[in-house]
Amino acid sequence: VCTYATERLAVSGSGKTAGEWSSLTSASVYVDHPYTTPLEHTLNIDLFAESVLPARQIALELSLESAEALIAAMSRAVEGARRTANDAQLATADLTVGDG
Amino acid sequence: MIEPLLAEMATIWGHGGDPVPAYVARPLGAGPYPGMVVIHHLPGWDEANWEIVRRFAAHGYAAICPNLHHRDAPGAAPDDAAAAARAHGGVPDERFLGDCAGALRYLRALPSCSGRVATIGYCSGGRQSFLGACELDPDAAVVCYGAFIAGPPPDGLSTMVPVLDRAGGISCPVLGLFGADDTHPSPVQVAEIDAELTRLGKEHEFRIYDNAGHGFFAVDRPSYRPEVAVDGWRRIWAFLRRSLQATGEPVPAQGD
Repeated sequence: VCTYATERLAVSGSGKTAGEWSSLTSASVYVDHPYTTPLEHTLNIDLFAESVLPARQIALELSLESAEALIAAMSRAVEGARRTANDAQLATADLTVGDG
Repeated sequence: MIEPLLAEMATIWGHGGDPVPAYVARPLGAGPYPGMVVIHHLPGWDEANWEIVRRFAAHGYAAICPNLHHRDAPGAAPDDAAAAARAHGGVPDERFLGDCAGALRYLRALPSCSGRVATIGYCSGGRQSFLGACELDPDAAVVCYGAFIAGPPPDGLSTMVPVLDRAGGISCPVLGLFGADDTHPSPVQVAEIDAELTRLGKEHEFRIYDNAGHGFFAVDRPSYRPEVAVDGWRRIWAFLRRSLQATGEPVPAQGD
């Protein structure tokens, strides 16, 4: 199928391509025919560096299985970081109570 | 023997008088040759479409494929321009119509062109081939699995509105080739388009192939269906032969 459905979102961070880093500002995410990968559909991510298009910095075409694995890995990493941050906050709170 | 071809990049004058790059291929003979405007799909102005342009030239057509994403990223690589076009919400219909009109004018002005010119589009280009038939003056239009001619537009691409309500303007024969396993367009939507063209008295030939989904002509994708694609090309040549008085066969070299 050919869905064309496209998610657009603002992002902050940096991306590196051709040896240069750029500040990323927006992204497109969609499942559609890839430009170059010989699959019927891929999860495609375009990362843009400026609000003025077409400064696309990074393009990904991932098989749907790879995309699911990557999403799961990213979720685990972010959730792990949040848990660590929460633990640190709780530790700080305990310390504050102890000081009182 | 097939007559020698010329394939090159050219510039046409598109919507708003803007210069638009286009890939052109045509037989080198004196003609007269019918013309074909190849409308590329949303993933980009890519090699697969240029190959289709050369195929038409090999079959005796002056063929052209304008870069519909040019303005979204002037000078950028076709894949980056496609990403920019998508981020902009797709190709606006009025801009497409202006660019397609420019491509029709370009071909009709060629000394070797007969003046009879068709359009063909795949996927989103199929919808645009249909739209061009509604609003412009091609002599024939081929629609290959054109999505969103009927039905609601996809999320995030608001430009891809349904165009079936403009079918009253169609003034040329339409050939539609679709897959029964496709969902964009679904067989129900194809039937809706078919019924509307019949109701309006528009000359058309629709074919829905079993065991085929979206993209059955695309030789570089798993969706390719050789038997369906071969039959589809035969129908295209026969349709164009009727509609453009074209031969639809490889052009013999002089002296053959």
